[in-house]
Amino acid sequence: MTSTALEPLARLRERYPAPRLPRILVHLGTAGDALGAARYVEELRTALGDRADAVYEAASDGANWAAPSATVFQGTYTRRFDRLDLNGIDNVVACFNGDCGDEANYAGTGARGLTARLGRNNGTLGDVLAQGAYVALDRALGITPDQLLHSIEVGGFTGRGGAHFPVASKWRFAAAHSDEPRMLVVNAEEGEPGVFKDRHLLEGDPHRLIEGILLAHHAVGFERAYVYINGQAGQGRASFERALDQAREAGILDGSAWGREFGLDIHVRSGAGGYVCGEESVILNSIEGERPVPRTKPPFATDRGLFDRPTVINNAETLCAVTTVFENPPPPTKLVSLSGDVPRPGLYEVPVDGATTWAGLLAMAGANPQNVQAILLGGPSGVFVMPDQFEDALVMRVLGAGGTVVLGPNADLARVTRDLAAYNMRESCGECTPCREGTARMVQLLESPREHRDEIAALIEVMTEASLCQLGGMAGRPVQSALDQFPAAFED
Amino acid sequence: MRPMTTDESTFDPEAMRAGSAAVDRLPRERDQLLPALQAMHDVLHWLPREAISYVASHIRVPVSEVYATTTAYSELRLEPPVVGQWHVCTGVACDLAGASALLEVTPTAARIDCQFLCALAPVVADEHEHLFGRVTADDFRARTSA
Repeated sequence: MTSTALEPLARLRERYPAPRLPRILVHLGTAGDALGAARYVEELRTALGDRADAVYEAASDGANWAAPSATVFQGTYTRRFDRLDLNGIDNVVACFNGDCGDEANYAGTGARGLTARLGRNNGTLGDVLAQGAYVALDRALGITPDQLLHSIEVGGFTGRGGAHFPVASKWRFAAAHSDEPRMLVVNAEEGEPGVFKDRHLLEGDPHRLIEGILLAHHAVGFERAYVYINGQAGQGRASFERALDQAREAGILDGSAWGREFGLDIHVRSGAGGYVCGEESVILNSIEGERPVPRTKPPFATDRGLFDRPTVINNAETLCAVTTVFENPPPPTKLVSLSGDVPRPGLYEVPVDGATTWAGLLAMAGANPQNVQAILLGGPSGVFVMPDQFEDALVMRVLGAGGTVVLGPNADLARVTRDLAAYNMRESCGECTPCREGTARMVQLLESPREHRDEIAALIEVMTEASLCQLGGMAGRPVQSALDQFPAAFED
Repeated sequence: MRPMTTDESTFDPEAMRAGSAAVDRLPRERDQLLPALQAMHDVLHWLPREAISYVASHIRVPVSEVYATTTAYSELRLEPPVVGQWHVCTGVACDLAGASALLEVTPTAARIDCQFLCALAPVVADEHEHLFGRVTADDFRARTSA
């Protein structure tokens, strides 16, 4: 890299300096708010007196188990104070004043990568710039779109929304289209029960998503980008829009900070509920103002998508992940939303290079694998991972969107299965018969599955083959997985 | 199918005017249909017949299509919200963490699907959709009887 390539970033950093140290970040966001963490902002400001301006509101760092929490940044070390109560305020203040005790390090959430800045910034542009934001974009602008596509390909990036499709291939399909303008749709609808990764990314490091969008724009060239955010993720949308304003003001969005004209128009849209709205073609209909139902494929979105234009649809996590493209090597990680019967539920960034097993993931979350009946992976479209698979390595392909619920010794596995089937029935949009009728019939058959094994198998086959989208197409998966692995649970 | 009712006792003409003004600020384009419904909903907290008609005329699509779209979104209410209504999340993690015990404590609370705060299960929501995490039966009893 030449020194001139760094100049625009250096100028940005000069204009938007990082907040000074030491400082305290109180982790709010949706998770902190649900536990009343805002009161600690006030308590700490009162306790610090004339240094009250060193206390900042920040988002969750993913460690939901630790909430309400606050992190002290002292320069050479940090310490997060977990499960704050008002009596613990003195310890936070002491750490701020230089006495952090023996635990002055960072008890984080596993591997670093796209969560490196998550909840560790105060929401200002200066803070994330100091932590490496827009370094990848700066570097990408020094190479051609083709070279960037090549780097994405070599980095092995695949879609993080569940389908695991190679990012570079999808981008190339759209880029190869002479039919302009092209559209980018960012899927942050995240309607799969048990998944809460995109909300964390939007709340805790929205500039990473903006950078991912601009990288995709450099590689493909879009006229417009639509960021489609779950309707209940109000804080995520607010945080993302705040970051857009910051990036606009700084000349990042339009490229003027680099002396360029990006010519990309970014629109933010909110969903309004419904599991099916996470399906990519449903999002296209929703944005166009049509009824939120799936489209038949082909045509594929990269040929004819939003407003009939060539369209790339990427999951929010996917675009965040590509910002690590120039790390050597890019960290092969996947965000896993972990909940259920574990001591430390939260958002984990898990290495998927074959070195981490399910047992390892359970250990990270403080759970003893011997006390786990099964792990539900992928919610209503998912499967049950059984103890005899706990030594299997975690790989991107099986993790889907990364929603995992740990089912402990008291979980009623048959009831969980029936609840998932009932959820799919409620959420079926009704557009196609296999899903509309099939999900309802499945609920009936699961009342006495032993007598209906053949009919269930036939029904799953029809739904899998003939449904218009993957809501119906995958609705049979948890049922099949349950009947294969714990049929006895259904015997009364 | 949910009924499309307008009860005079719950219909608020002033809020309707504010909702209409919010809709007026949006371009009269088809792709503004959901944003327009949401703009109304943000003000009124539900969509009475008049709101649906107003959006239809602003976007210039038939009322039937607006209604069909509205009913497809679970977060758009066609009935006024019940004052003081609490919801208990019954997603898998909340179910494991004792959602059913919370429903027993407050039988008037309604069940609601996953609120995506699974790591803080069990989760409840107040009438303003504010979420509370790690709720115990005692907490919930105290909150809902307050």
